[in-house]
Amino acid sequence: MEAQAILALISAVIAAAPTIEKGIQKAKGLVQALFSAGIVSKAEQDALNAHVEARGNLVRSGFIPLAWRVEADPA
Amino acid sequence: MTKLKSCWLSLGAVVALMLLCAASCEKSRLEPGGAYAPLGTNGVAAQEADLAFYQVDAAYDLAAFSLDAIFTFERENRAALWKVSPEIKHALDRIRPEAWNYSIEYHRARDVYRANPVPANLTRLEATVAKLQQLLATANAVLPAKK
Repeated sequence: MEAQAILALISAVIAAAPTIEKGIQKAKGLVQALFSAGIVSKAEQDALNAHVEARGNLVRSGFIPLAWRVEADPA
Repeated sequence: MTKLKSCWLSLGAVVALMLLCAASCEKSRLEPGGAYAPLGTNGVAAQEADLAFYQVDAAYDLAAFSLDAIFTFERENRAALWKVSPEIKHALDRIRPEAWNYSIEYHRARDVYRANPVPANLTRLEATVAKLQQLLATANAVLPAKK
C-alpha cells in the first residue's frame, strides 16, 4: 500500500468528519503513528495488530453488527 | 446531529497533521520488536520489518472503522435521515452487505499472507482494501453535505 493511498483514505475519513467524531480521533492516531515521528513504535504496531485481530475474530464469529445489517425501512 | 458539529474543532488539527506528514511519509519505518517487525529470542530481528503489511492493515482498520461509523450514524439517526431522503438508507443498504463481505475477504487474505508473506498475497490484501476504500467513498457521498 502506497503511503499516498493511505493519505487518500484519511482524506475520505476527514470528509466524513461531520458524522464521525470518533473517526477523527482515530485518524489522528493513525496519521501520527504512520508519519509524525518517522518511526512506528512497538506499542503502536502491537495496538494496530491487536485491533485488526479483534476485528477478525468478530468477522469469523459470524456475528454481523447491527449497524452493518440491512434492516426494514421505517414505517 | 448538532452534537456532531464539534467534530469540526478537531478537523483543522487533522488537516494540519496531514500537511506536515505528507512530506515525510516515505521515511516511515517500524521499531524493531513490534508485531510487524518481530524479534527472535536472541533479540535480533527475526524477519525483515514489514512496513507494507503495517500500512495495509492500518488502511483496512481505518476503512472498516469509518464504514462502521457511517453505518452506525445512519442507524442512530434513521428517523431524521429518512425524512431528509429515504435514498440515504437505501444507498447504505446496498453497501452494507458488500462491505461486510470484503471484511471477511480481508481477514481470509490476511491469514494467507501471515502464513506465506509473499508479494502476491500482499497484493490480494491491497486489492481488498481498495474495494473497501471505494465503498467508503460511496458511503461518505451518500451522507448529507456539511452546512
